[in-house]
Amino acid sequence: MSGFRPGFELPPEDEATGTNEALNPGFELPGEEGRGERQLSAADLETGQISTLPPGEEPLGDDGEELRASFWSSPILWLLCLVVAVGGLQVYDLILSAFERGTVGGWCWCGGIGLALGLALMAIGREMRAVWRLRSTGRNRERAREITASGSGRDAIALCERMAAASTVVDQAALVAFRDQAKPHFSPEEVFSLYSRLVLSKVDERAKEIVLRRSRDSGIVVALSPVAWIDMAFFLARSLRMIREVAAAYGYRCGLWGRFALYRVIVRNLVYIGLADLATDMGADVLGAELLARLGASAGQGVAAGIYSTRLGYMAIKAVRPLPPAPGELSLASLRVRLVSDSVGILRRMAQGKGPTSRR
Amino acid sequence: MLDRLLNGITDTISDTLSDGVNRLLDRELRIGVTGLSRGGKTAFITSLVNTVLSFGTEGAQSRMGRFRGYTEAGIGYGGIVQNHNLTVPRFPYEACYDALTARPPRWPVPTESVSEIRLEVRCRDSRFYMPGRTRTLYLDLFDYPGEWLIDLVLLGRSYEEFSALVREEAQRLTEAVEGTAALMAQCRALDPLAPPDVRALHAVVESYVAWQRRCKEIGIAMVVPGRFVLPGELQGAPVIEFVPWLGDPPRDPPRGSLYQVMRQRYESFRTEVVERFYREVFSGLDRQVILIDCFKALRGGKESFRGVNDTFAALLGNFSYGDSNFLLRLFAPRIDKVIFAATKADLVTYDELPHLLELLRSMVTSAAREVRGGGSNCQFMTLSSISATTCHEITHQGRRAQVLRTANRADGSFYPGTMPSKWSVEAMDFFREHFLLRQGLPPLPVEEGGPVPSLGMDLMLSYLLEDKL
Repeated sequence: MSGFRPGFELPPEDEATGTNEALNPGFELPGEEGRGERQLSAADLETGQISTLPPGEEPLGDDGEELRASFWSSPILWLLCLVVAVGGLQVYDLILSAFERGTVGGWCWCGGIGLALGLALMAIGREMRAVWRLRSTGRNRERAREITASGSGRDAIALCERMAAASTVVDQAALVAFRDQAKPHFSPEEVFSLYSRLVLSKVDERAKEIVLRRSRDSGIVVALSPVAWIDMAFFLARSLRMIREVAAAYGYRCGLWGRFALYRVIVRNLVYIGLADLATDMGADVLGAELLARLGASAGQGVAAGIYSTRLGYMAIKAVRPLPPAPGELSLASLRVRLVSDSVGILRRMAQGKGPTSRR
Repeated sequence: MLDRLLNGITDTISDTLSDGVNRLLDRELRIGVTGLSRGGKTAFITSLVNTVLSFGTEGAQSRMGRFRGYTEAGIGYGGIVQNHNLTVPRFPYEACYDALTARPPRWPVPTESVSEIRLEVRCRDSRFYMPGRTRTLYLDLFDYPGEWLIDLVLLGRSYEEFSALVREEAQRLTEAVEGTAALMAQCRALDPLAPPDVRALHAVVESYVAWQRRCKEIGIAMVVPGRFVLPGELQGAPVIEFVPWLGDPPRDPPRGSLYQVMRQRYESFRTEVVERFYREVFSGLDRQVILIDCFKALRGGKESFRGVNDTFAALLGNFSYGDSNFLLRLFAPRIDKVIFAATKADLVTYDELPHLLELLRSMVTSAAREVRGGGSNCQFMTLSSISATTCHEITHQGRRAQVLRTANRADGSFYPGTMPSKWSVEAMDFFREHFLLRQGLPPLPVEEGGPVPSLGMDLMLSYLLEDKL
């Protein structure tokens, strides 16, 4: 509480930082119309209108500069330009020679190449959009974190509206309920938890089902398969498929690049964020695995594989979910508990039903 | 004749039984509501009852954004039922609501002493052995003066300790509260060893009560015994005809002397008034709502700063379990949650609400540092039970700013100023100098049968009921 500002002052732009170092005195306005005044309500917020953070400001401003610099000096770019230029010349040459042979043939060549080019451009556009969407999800989450730290409920509502507008899987009825119930005097956490509860919970449920199903499959195959490298190949294929499906559940259809971008995020999560999760969950993991090892070594292996697959799925959810999951909403522990109970049940049924199958 | 008697007996038995069953099945929640320095109890209960009555009606869900149990437990109905204890006055909800729907709207008249109102909330039964059934939860709102809550600090104090407490307080307030010196002189003039002179004693008691009132005006709530200011049915009873001994305590006062008589009266006050309240009301409460008018506390100035701290320290002492006091251990309160609500949140703009909440938190925690560890059962929130303003956004001198507006459009709008987020003497000075505190604003008009405009009732209900649904 250092400086009290004397006299008459308006709140400065960066007022809503929550630190409240500078206190502002009150002021009065005479009762007149026409100042563009309107009552605060959630419904009339424009999408993208965030008062604490001006839209032009990027949270990763410095990184952006650096990236641009390296972009122009990159040799790959120049090589790519060269290839494109050579390719263009070749195409031009091809069309020219086709026209020399006959007009109809020339036009056919033109059309064919145009079509191919159009398709290629469309594919590239799709890929770019996928990558861009993943990035914007990341940016939104960054912004959500900032708003939670130092923003207002209105900012949070505006951000939720923007996320909903960008998403393809949002249930409109749920969104209407959210607009109805979110009020501008709520704290940002309250708005985000309301959004999670009303709008995202159905998608979460679907993603959870996918993760559990795929992890269970992986776990069971690993438990039953006799050869190690088949396990590994199968595990990889299933995991990749799970990640794709989880992303699709959140409305994120990834192309090739998008997929790689997603894998990169997930791997990063596994390494960085995963460590924190690991630290809290390791005890439970080890205990669970040991307990299950009594079912048989292979079953224990299977369950361990399932647990790792669950963790991967959880990371995928963390990477594509518009808001980071709150502690109580979606936890690795709850996923694991369900996975273990499900797969143990299945393994047991299999062991009882056809004994020789679970020979290993 | 015999029939009627038998019917009466069976009714009583069945009532008692259903009562016990309600308790057993955790279907009853006794909520104490109290306010410090006119925290706005009446407005709060009116608004809470109004919200509960609106359960299940159209539009109720849109006001229950933060009360997730509302949809998850499928609350479909809320109503008022007959009070448990028929000797306690019922909270005059209808009169309060009518005052709000009148044209022009008026503030409900504050209730001075104790009142009670029993509400029922029906929701879906989620217990596994009773699927598809509805379940009724009863809420008893018990409204009592904050002074009584503060009086609980006397439970473990003898007359000498009580006198020392007040003496210390009075010495500190000599400059802040006018008439303190005169009161001290008047008390010293009493002869402790002589038999009591009824007239002189009464005069001293009266000036003591007048002094207490003056203390309360500047925001010091910690002037025991609070019962003196709000005696209720004890008005004129000898049990409150005593004052703390502000002079030096005498040695060996004989039997029947003034000192002995006052000590005796204090002892019976302690056991028959304070302890009874503790036993019969306080220890039976499940949750406690404490409404605090932070604006009034900030306006009090430097002198009341320590007073507020002391008050919270004393208050929290009542709710802590680890107390070594024999009495407190004997009737350990059942209260598992204490909700501190900063009322009149409609006097600041929405962007200042987080600061108001921070202020409340710092008021309570700076007063009693030791509760921070064990205070997990404390909840803090901002609340406007009945709003008098609406928050608008305007462009003022080229910038977007939030301002407040009253129901009367001709009044214009105003920006009250920044709320200090820390409880400190500097914050009080700033607040007194620069904050535009509008007092006596009329409430926003309520349509007949419509909801009372409020902020934060959903959060309050979620703190009160969430875990019981």
